Amino acid sequence: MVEPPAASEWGDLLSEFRARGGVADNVEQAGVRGLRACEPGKPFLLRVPANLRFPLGDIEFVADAIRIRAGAGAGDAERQFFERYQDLISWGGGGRLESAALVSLYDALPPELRTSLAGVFGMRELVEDGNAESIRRQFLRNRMIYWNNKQIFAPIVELARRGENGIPISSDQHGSLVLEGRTDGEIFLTYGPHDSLGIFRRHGVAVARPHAFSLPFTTKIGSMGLSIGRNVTARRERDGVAMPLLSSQSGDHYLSHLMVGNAKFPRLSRGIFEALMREAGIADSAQLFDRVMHFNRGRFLQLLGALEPLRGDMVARLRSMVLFQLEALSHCVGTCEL
Amino acid sequence: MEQGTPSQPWHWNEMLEEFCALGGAAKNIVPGSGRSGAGLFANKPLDEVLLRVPRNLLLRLDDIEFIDGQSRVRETARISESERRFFERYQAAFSWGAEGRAKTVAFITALEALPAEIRELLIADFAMGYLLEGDQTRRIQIQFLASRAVRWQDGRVIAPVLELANFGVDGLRCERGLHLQIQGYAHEEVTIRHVAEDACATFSRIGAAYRQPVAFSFPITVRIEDREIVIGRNTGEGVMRGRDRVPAMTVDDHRITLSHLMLGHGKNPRLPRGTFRTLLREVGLSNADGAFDRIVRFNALKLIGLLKALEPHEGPLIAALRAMARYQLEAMNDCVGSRDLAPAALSTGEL
Repeated sequence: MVEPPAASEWGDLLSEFRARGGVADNVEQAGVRGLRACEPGKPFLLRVPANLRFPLGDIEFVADAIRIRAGAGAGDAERQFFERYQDLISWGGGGRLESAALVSLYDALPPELRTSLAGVFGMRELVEDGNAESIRRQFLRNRMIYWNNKQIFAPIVELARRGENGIPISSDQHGSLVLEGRTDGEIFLTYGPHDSLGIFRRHGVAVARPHAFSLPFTTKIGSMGLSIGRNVTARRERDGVAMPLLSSQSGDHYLSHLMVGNAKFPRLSRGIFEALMREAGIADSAQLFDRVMHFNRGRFLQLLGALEPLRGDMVARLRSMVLFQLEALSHCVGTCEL
Repeated sequence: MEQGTPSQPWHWNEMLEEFCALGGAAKNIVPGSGRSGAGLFANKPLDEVLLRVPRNLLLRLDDIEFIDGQSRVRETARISESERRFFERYQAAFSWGAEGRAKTVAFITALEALPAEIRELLIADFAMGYLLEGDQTRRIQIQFLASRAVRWQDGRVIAPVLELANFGVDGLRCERGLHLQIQGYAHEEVTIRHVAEDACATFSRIGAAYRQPVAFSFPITVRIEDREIVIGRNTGEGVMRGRDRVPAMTVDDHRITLSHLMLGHGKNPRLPRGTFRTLLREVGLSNADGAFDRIVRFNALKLIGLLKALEPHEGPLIAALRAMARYQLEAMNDCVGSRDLAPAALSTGEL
């Protein structure tokens, strides 16, 4: 059982955070994991400057402690702050136990189900690594933030739990990462662009989402190949619509990701695909899109079948996630011209 | 609760003798007990079985009533005295009076024991009110007949002896000609399959979940332009277009009614959308895809809603419902691409 840090320790760390350029107004820790407004209803502000943002690649685990790698760009003062923060508040303050509890739920799943999760559903790191490594990776995956196409660790902000109506991260004119708003209770961060499967992979919880993205999918169209990835942060704006990135090489095409259902914009999924296939010069995109949908629904229904005879906390979570994903997948109706 | 009818002793071979004397035929068929309880088996598993029920022994459901807990042929039924006697004695000895009634009671009482919210969902979204609402005795009788009936001409009938065969996805197909019959190799248990039945319909009929290669839509009305498209769930109605069986369609100024609509087909995944597209194009509606997608979504959300509602519950019937919903979604998933139907046959006036 981990207790939240004493008020004095939290206060000391906030002072250090501020001394290194961070801003934390009207914010306090809520339990072991969470943030809340000290004065509910009044604006809160968290600002994390560049020197307090740590690329995930700069972080390492040494003898079960979390540190900044030697040779990384962080200054000495920031390193010390990071290590103290991790030991008292984050990894040592409950993060390791939180991740260990989740990984142990995966460990309890039958081997054949873990194989399926590792393969089709991209959870290899969660179900196949050694236990200690899985816990560390899960901790980082759970707490990291995408910032300017990079995975970073942002102290204090990372403590906020995610919520369906969470607040998105923004930036200010100085390039600082900003989380601000007004709340009557806990401060929640947004889940970002992820679908139910994506959230499950990062946070281990089943959350309903209005949209779904395709599982990785590869097919041949004549002599051409088409591959669909699941990098949902790789996108570009077109007429106000977030489009996946399309790249082509030697006649093969690659889509960074593909939306396959959206309750708010049910005609968009097929519309995006048709527009991109026109660009790529691929005919009969309607049937190809049907095949992508067939593949996705089939895999989730297969998983649902595999979960059927099993019981337990993780099984129930997985089953809910599958139903949420199938629900979002069903919101693919008609098409639109982009 | 319905009182049981004590089964009356009648030896199987004696019954078959009388069955054959009335025009029936039974080759290599014996009663037995299998995975689904009492049923029919091949006496010699390597030999062919044949079971022929003559039309004079096919009893329309409307001609059957229950009096004092016994299955009877109505006075008004157009049936001779010898067939009436045979049917009633057969029912008491081998069907309703044997395991038939008990199996039906078990299914109805299991449905009644489901959590209230599941029962409400089954009534509202899956048209199972006839199994869950009203007088229990009547529901048991209706369900017993529904579970045993087979299509014959323009209605449904009980076919003595053949109705004892349990359902099997790979079972023998009922052949309809001068008589109703099944024949072929059964290996062990003689089962029959019901063509044009999806997982949901099979569950309603026998209370068990079976994978089916097809899925049909639940009733729904959608609009395309200024026309109302009314989709039913009467899979017994249909017409042949080349090798494809398609729904019967009626058209008036503002409404197009389809007897049913296939949403998925494991062996012909391009057929469901192709059928809808072709039929609607023939009545002047060219943009059917969006409407088809809406119908698919409506069905998928119903089934996913049921799965969500079942989530916190456990039990054999809950598991069967879960499997049924999943099988229905699986069959619906077999809808990829589209193809045209063969042209409709010209009516005499067009020749």
